[in-house]
Amino acid sequence: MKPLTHAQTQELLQLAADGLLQPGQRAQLDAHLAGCPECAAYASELDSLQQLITSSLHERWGQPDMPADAGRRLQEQALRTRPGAGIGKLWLLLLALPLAALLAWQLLAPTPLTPSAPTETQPASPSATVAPPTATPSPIPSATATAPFAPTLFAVPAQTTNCREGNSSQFDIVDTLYTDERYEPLGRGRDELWLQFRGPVSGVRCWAYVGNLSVLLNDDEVQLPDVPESILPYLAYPATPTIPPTPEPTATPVPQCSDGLDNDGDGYIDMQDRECSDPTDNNEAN
Amino acid sequence: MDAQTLARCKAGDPQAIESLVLEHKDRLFRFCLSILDDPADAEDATQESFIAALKALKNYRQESSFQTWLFSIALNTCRGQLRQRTRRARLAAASQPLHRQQAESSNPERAAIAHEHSHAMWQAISRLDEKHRLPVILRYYHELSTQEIAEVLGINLGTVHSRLSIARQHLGAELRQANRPKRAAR
Ligand SMILES: [Zn+2]
Repeated sequence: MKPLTHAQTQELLQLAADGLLQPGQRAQLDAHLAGCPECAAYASELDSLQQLITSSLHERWGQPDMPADAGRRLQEQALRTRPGAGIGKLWLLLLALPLAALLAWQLLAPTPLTPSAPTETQPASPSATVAPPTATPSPIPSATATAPFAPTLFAVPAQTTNCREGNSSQFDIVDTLYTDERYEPLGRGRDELWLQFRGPVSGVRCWAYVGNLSVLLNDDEVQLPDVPESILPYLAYPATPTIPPTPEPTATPVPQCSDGLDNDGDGYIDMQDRECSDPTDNNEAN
Repeated sequence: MDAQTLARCKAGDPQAIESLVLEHKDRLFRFCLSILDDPADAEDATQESFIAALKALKNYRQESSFQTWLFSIALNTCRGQLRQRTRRARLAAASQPLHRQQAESSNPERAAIAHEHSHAMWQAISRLDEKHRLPVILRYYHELSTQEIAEVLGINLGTVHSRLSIARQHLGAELRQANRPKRAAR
């Protein structure tokens, strides 16, 4: 077995800290540590750092239980909540009527449907109230029973949902869709797994995973593949960022002379190393 | 959480729901507390997250543990709260100083060295950006495995490891820097 270098040993110590050592690596690591004071010091420093992190977080928050009254409120509300036990097959029936109406409407009205400004709060058509004759002419030809059936499509997050720049969790989160709010999707991706929205806060276009959403067509829950394409056009996903999974760039790179490491392996760290001119010096070796 | 209890919850069995709440509420509360660092906000977030999870129970596929799944829902809730808090803070910024920070630094009882170190460490952790801070909290406060952290954060295992090592590197360096001038003064 090839002996480990110091750098390899220290990376193995980092992996060990995260419980990610491969079988066999533990023995290799121990063998090097036994004969290398430098890496042994690194190991014990890492150990005490982890202990300090743990104790400081526990000192900050302790191990509190949820306060009793809040716990009771949660119990009560949980019992009032109907767990999402799946939609069952009933929606198929509910869907049949609006879809038939929609189909008929599409055959009769050739004008394409353009997703328009939000109409979230649009109330159910007040068919019971008879509009009094007024001087202002309505743009709608007539409010008879044969008025065009206007489909409305919304997504309701079942949980607070990230809205991302693109169609995977690799993309940055740019906005949030909140539970039980209604959002109008702008389109869907080809794989039927992501919907595009206008971010409610940021105003930018962003994508949410359909697993977190209920899709409502005229208030009936539908599955995405059953949404007629004219209502929700297909959109191209943005190019997937080619981020190498690891290592990722440090948010703020630490110069060698203040990174707390003995970068050149001469036994001196940062400003203790005479090769460091100041803490922003990025070369500990000369 | 066993599959049978979960199935009974999905069916709306009040006893099963009660035991689900009982089993998870405290850990969920601590989770929200550790993200929001405010007990009152954490209560609200726990409530909201648990109800959201119940409503979304049909989406839980048992690929991850129930707790991991619950945490990932709570993380979204807490992020929403943090966003609102940022917005509120921005609105209030003109008229008010930041109360929390003031209260913190005006505490004179920070005498014991161990306590001082631990407090300095907390401050260093709270200064990390979210993508490095969250893995640290999940690993060292909630004692999750890297695999569980990957599931909660929706990132892969290698990324969890690299974020944790970078965070440790930062924290170690910050701490040494914080200690150095004091040692010279003594
Ligand atoms: Zn070595």
